[in-house]
Amino acid sequence: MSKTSYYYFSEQPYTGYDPALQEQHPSLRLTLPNTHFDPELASELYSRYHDEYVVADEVGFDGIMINEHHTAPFCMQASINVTGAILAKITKRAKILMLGNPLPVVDNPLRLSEELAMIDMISGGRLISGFVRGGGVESLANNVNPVHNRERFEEAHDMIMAAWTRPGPFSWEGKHFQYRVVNPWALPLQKPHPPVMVPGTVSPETVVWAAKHRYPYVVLGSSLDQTKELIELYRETAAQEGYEMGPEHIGYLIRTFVADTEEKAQAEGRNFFWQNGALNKQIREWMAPPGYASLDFAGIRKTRAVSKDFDSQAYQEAQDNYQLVLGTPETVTEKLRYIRDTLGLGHMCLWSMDGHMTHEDTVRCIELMGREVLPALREA
Amino acid sequence: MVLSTTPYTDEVLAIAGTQLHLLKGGSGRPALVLHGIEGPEGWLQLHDLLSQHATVYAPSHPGYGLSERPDWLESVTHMAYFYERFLRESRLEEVDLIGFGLGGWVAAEMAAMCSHNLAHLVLVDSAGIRPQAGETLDIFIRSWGDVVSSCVTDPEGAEEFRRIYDAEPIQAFGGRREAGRVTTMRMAYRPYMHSPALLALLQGVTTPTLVVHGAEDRIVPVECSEAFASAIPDAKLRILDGCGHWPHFERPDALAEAILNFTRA
Repeated sequence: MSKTSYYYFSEQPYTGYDPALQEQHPSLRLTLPNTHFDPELASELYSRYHDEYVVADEVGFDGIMINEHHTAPFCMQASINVTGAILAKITKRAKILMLGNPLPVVDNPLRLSEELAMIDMISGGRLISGFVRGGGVESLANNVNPVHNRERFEEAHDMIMAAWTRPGPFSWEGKHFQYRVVNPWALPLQKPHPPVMVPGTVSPETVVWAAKHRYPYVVLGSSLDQTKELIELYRETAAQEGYEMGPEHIGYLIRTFVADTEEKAQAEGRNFFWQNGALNKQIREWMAPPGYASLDFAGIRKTRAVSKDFDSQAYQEAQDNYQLVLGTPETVTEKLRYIRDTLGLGHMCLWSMDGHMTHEDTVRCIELMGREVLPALREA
Repeated sequence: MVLSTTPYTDEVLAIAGTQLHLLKGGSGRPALVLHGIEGPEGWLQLHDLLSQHATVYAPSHPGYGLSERPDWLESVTHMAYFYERFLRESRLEEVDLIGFGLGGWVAAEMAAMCSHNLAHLVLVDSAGIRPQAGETLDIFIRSWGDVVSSCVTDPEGAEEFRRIYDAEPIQAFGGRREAGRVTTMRMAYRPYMHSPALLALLQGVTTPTLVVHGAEDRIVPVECSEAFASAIPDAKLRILDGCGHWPHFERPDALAEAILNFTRA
């Protein structure tokens, strides 16, 4: 059985706004005025979140997963590369799992290739460079036309790969990016290039793209049934491409919190619902604007299983569906083992901090994970 | 209300190598009527009124409704090139060019580019200019339902508006109108809803021009039509009371009268 890697994740939530704002701004993003953002509080939160990453590194997580979102309090990582650079210096062993750079909002992918190369070099070769399309709302927040989302994603990816692997200088004349001179004196340590991973929730197009490139695909918390279908699609595409899918090709993000007692875990687990389903209250024009995704991707079936979204589930229901894992080290180990083995996962991303969890409770969770849960999972 | 309806044809033509869906009816000098972000909504009362005195051509823009978008067409300027070819391939001259909203922007670019085949230019609540004092409503960060109801002053009252949206209610996602919403986003997202060079280019227009604006337009500020009328030599400006961004739905009689008085003068 090949070794599964375990990563620690937090959105780095900004918890300082008045919850009553949600009445006027149900989805708590994009046009939620930033006059409600307090940089002093955020500064303290960043400091605490980074301390928690250091603990995760010390207790033996295989990696730390980070991400990027804009104009929204649920995630303070407006630049995944800033967080990545910080991790490169403050952690020593954990991989830096970026899931992922939202390529469509990048106007200069060459510069991104340089930044990622710097992170890889400075970290001693620990970068896992994930790429993501990002929801339509990220484009709206970055003056990029959502109509070009897929094209920009693919061209930026191709451009970055070329910058990393093709000897410079060369020129690049694409549809969205045009460079006179591509000759970066910033190249990644890992050869031929840092590993790439692709996160997704439901889009079959993303699965197929990942499988065609042989990039591990990480399902971000969809239901087990829907995840199984996506994995099956990856397996079929891999077979068509002439290789056999293995656990190393599949990852899964799961909300998980460990505490010393079941009661504590159940109490803290409520923090995963801290925004009252805000993300599901976005209008369609934000998440999937016209032109963002093809309505009908020929030849690719839609998943039959429909994920009941996390926030629509009752607290116990989410646990019964294995979309929320709460408990003591013993019970959490058992549930995570079940998920890992049912799905055949090579990568488990453990989303273990959210909402108003205190620093103390978060650190305790990370320690219990690192000292009890992960060793047990690595043994069997 | 009884309409005296002119018969019209409904066909698909091959123009510039692509399929263009076209409604056409009436007799007299050609009037090319260019719709806006609402997309093609069939043969409207306005088309019918104009067709009493003109041969009305009411196409669905490439990328809207049943009309195909050629791969190269990504901007309003490209749309203007396309319609220039439409006029040439259809052998139309002495054309009264009438555009609404986004269609007005297309018409303005056509006139700036090539006036010789135009008899008159009519811009109705036209997009294409960035307002200085106010702002053009951002249609891309709102639900389509909100955008549509912002386009008329009284959603309950405007008869043709009710007819269209009762018959085919707005879908948040998909449906017949989706293609047009994508094309609008493709062309008008950035710079938002305008061409920076257009005002300057319009100073070269020699076509007699009428600029019309609904007094209560909540999408495009009245100052945009004032700017169009200032930029285009000898242009006339007419503000229509009691309607918003879609006078063709709200006050088709008044609008048709204003247009016909101008084009038949």
